[in-house]
Amino acid sequence: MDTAELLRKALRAARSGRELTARDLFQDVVRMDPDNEVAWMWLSGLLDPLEDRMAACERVLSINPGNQRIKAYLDKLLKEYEAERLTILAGLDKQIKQIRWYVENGKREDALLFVKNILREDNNHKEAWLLFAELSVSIDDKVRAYETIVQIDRSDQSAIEALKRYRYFQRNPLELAVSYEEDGEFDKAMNLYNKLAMRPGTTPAEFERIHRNIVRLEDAKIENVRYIRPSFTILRLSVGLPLLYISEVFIQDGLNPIKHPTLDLWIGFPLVVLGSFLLTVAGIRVRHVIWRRWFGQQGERGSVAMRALVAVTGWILVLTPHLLLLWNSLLRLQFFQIPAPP
Amino acid sequence: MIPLNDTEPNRYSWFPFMTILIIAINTFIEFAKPLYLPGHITFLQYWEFMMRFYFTPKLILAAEGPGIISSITSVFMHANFFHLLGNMGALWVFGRRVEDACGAWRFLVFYLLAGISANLITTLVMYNSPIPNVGASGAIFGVMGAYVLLYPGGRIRTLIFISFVPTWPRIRAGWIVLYFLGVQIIPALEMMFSNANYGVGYWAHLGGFFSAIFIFLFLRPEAFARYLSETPV
Repeated sequence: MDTAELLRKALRAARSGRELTARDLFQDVVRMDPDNEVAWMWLSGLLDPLEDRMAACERVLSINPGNQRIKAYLDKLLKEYEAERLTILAGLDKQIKQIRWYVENGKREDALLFVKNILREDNNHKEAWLLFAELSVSIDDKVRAYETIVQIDRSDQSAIEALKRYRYFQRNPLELAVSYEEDGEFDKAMNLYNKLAMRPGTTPAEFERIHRNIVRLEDAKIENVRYIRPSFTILRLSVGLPLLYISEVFIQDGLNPIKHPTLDLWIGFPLVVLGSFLLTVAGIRVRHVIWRRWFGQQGERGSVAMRALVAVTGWILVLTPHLLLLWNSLLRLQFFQIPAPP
Repeated sequence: MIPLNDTEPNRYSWFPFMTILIIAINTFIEFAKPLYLPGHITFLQYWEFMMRFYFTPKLILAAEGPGIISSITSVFMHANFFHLLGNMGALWVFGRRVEDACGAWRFLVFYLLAGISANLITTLVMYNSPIPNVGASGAIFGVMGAYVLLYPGGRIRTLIFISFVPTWPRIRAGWIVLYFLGVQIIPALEMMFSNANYGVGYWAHLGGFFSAIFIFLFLRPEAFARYLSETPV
């Protein structure tokens, strides 16, 4: 059967209301004659998804750019397409709200299923990817989510930071578990510890260490041990050494450092405060701005070398004023006129 | 009443490194003292030694003498072997688990802070006293106070003589500390108001004990969280 005969047959089918048969026949026509304007015009009305109909219109216009009727029809289809898209997006936003409700009520697994559905419908939905990153337990999934978010919106600095952070944790998964623990997310930390204990290649010593952490966290959970913010812990642990130092200065200066002014108080004390703070930050390994701002540590936890460097700096700052105080004391001892016994 | 041992196990660490080290330093100093002060010394020579390394409130207040060196050295010195034995025994009993809750280095800082606080209180109360003071007792009382704050339910194996018959029950730490604290208060008040001198630093003991409150600045994060959650530290 030649193209003209097939086209006549297709037109008869279309006019008699047999749309599916007509559509198949018109598709056969354009397969045989890709530049058949009439067949493409009919297809622009018979094809099902809106996108296919628009593609047919564009094809007609590429064959005959002066076809005003099809131009008007394409404009109408574009408006319809936009309206449909807005309806879908409104539906997705509604679903996002639903997911947030699930997360707030502790149904994280249900929430994750919903997010995956949304992503199946719209793979460029940024908020859905953010939720996916938040809800995924796997570090690889988190990295994938943030990679996509950064692709969608290259100006999103927080996503870029998060991507760096999770890439760091991908290389150092134990650090992530400790980080979860410090953020008070004990369940997430325990899940990760369990995974790390079971992964192939874990040495017996590593297993033992991870196991101890799991037992410790389980105990804390059973006993309902409350979460203390790391910033408060840093503040609390930074006070002890300065308190010791100021007591020493008081003893050295006859309980009146103002009357016997020395550099110990005005210079030594701030140094001890700073040193004590650095020692605490290095010692308890919390995620801290120091690591990000000063050393550019993606995990914001500092590498072993950086922590050691900060700790050594802290020790120097703490010990120097103490040594100067002792030196001052030794000088006084050297020139001390011992009083007679009473 | 002689505390012998804390019957509860450690939670965070397995070896009380700093407690042992402090006991070793105190013992070494006690046994090294004769090397610095060879036999047949005169009272004047011994007085000079005390003025240099013991803690004298009057000198401290006048900002004379060695100052902080004497304050630190006095925390590691004892009058005699039995003084050392009593103090180090108490440090072993009460210090092990306090160190466990703090970590070794923070425990050392707390120990020194308790000792120096004891000296500060002594200076404030006995400000005119030219008598040199000695002993780790202030710091030990600080450790005892910290123990009671952290482990009020802790049980201590204690040697007690009932009509000369020895017995060693497990007694709650609170009762033991209360006993030791109780025997300090009256003589301390007497020293304050009637200038009595018993040759014992009761105010140093009380000062050290009250400095126990600072233990919360030294606890491990988890131990502190446990304390606030009212679960065993």
